[in-house]
Amino acid sequence: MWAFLTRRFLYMVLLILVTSMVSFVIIQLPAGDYITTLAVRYAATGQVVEQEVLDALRIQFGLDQPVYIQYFKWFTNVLQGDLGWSFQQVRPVSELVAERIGVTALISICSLTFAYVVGILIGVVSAVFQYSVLDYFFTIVGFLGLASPNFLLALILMVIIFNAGGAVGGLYSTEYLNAPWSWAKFLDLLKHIPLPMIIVGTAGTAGVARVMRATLLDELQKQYVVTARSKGVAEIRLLFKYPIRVALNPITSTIGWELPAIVSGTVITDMVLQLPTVGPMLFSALVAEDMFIASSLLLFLTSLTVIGTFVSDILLYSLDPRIRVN
Amino acid sequence: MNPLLDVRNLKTHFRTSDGIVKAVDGVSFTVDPQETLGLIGESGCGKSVTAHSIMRIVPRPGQIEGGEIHMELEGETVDLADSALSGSELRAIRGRDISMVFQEPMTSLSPVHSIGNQIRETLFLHRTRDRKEADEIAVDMLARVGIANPQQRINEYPHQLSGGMRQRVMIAIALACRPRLLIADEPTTALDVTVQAQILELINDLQDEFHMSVLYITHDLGVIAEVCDRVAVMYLGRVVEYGTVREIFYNPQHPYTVRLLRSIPKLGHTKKGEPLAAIRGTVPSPINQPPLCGFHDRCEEVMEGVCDRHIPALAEVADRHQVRCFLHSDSIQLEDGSIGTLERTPA
Repeated sequence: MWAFLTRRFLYMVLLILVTSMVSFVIIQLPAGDYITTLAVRYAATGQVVEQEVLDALRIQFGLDQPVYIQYFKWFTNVLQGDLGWSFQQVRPVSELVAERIGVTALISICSLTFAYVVGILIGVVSAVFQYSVLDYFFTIVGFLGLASPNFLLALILMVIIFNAGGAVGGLYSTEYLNAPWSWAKFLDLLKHIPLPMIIVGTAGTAGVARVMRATLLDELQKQYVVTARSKGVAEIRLLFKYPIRVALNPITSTIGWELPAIVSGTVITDMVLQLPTVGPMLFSALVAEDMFIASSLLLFLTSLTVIGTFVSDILLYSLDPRIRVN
Repeated sequence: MNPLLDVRNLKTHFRTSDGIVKAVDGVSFTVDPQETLGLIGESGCGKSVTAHSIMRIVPRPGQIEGGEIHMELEGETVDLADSALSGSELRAIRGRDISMVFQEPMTSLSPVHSIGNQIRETLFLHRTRDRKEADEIAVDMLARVGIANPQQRINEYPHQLSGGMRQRVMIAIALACRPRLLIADEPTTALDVTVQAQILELINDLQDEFHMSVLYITHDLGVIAEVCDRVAVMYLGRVVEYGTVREIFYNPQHPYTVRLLRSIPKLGHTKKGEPLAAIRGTVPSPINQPPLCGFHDRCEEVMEGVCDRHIPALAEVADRHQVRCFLHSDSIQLEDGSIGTLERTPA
């Protein structure tokens, strides 16, 4: 057990290191840098910035140095807890990320829980009552959920809720936007959470339900189910102890992958819903070649992916005895 | 002496969108206490469905449409085919009085539960609520089925065992509550020949030890000859010949049984290059079968206008030996299960 965990952990650290390098290089691949973006922006307003000023800025930001030195500097700083500065906002990256990470995690965890609880329930009902009216209903809704883009669903739901007089967009009502944390602000947040939770979670729910249904149908046919029945085990107990238990394995083994997907995969939806999450921030940073903030966010997402997989491995390891033996 | 199990005119049908599949269509046989009855037939003849009907675990859309399954339980007789029997009453019998060993040892155990857990489950349901006692019984059962190191094995998982070992574990589970009847559904089909012999011997020994009856389902005539007292030969959902092993092997009467026995290649008796004595044709589909002898289109002694018009009834041909064939009797089995007489028009 410990050897397994240690090995996995070492791979994990190595993987994060390599991905951080690769993503740092990829962010710098487009021609030009943030200074170029800045110059273009000034030029658009008719101002001309002299070449000397641009060169001085480059030297000041360290952008004149080769990529590997930039990476090394940035990464040693990251290890010391300094994520660098955002060129755009002229603020430390750690401050910017800290502002958004709590909300992002809150929405992610809510929608993840929503997706798995509802998805597994629907999957079980669909499989146990295969080809029933309920099964067909969930199948149709599930495919619609999988096929329609989330931001479209967001727009439709926003229209419906707005017409019904509900709160739409953002996570707080205007009066609480810049207010310090209070009980009232928290309640206001709770009122705003369900919409993004459902919208972001829908695609996940549909996916989980499809996988659960297919795996469970497979397991229900297995001989060990008949064996348990022949022992005199009651039907409901049997269902939970054997086929559902086995069918949960593939779902569990992918739960970790959902974590970064929900953070990074909802850029458009979060923009539509005006949610102050990490997604839109990463998007604008990439567009502007605001490289420290982009690199830090990618490092954050990579770590989430790898940690998620690590957690999945541990879960699968404890769930399935077949994995335990080398 | 009353039989332990008395199956009378059992009918188990599957209502599919293509029509009614009469998988079991009027099967009758008895199993005496401590006796071994062999149920033999080709794939799809209804032998497994018969076993599932006795356990009342027929998968949907299958349903017991008629007949009785009388089981002797502690002085009282219960009709297992009775639809009035509640689920909990049935579950109390399953695993305690009747238990079953299946064909596929590789898949018949849950991959994610330890062997101990799976033996204890049946013990908790029928024998004891005490964890320590259940563990002791489980270890004892594993030792009895010939598993070395039962103390250690009890915490292992099925994938750590070979096929033969898994089948031994299945037998341990099935016998943990000392059932009166063990249904063994082709328990050796998926195993190596050497392991097959061991498993057969094991079931035989445990049968003597536990004083139980065994219903042995197989398509292997060799197995029947080795372990059974009596045999019921099934074809297309019906028992076509029924008698002692001696009678069936040395004095077969039904054309199907005769050909079945002849189809076994005999070492030294078959010349090289000589074709095997296979039965011509294939088993017809049991969907929407009209009332006739199921074997008529493969039979070399078929009588036109007789075999394809009526279902022959089981008739006594010798002491404890019955055959369902118009070559041997004129009695007809009617739809309602009663017996009529064939009127032969002189040719």
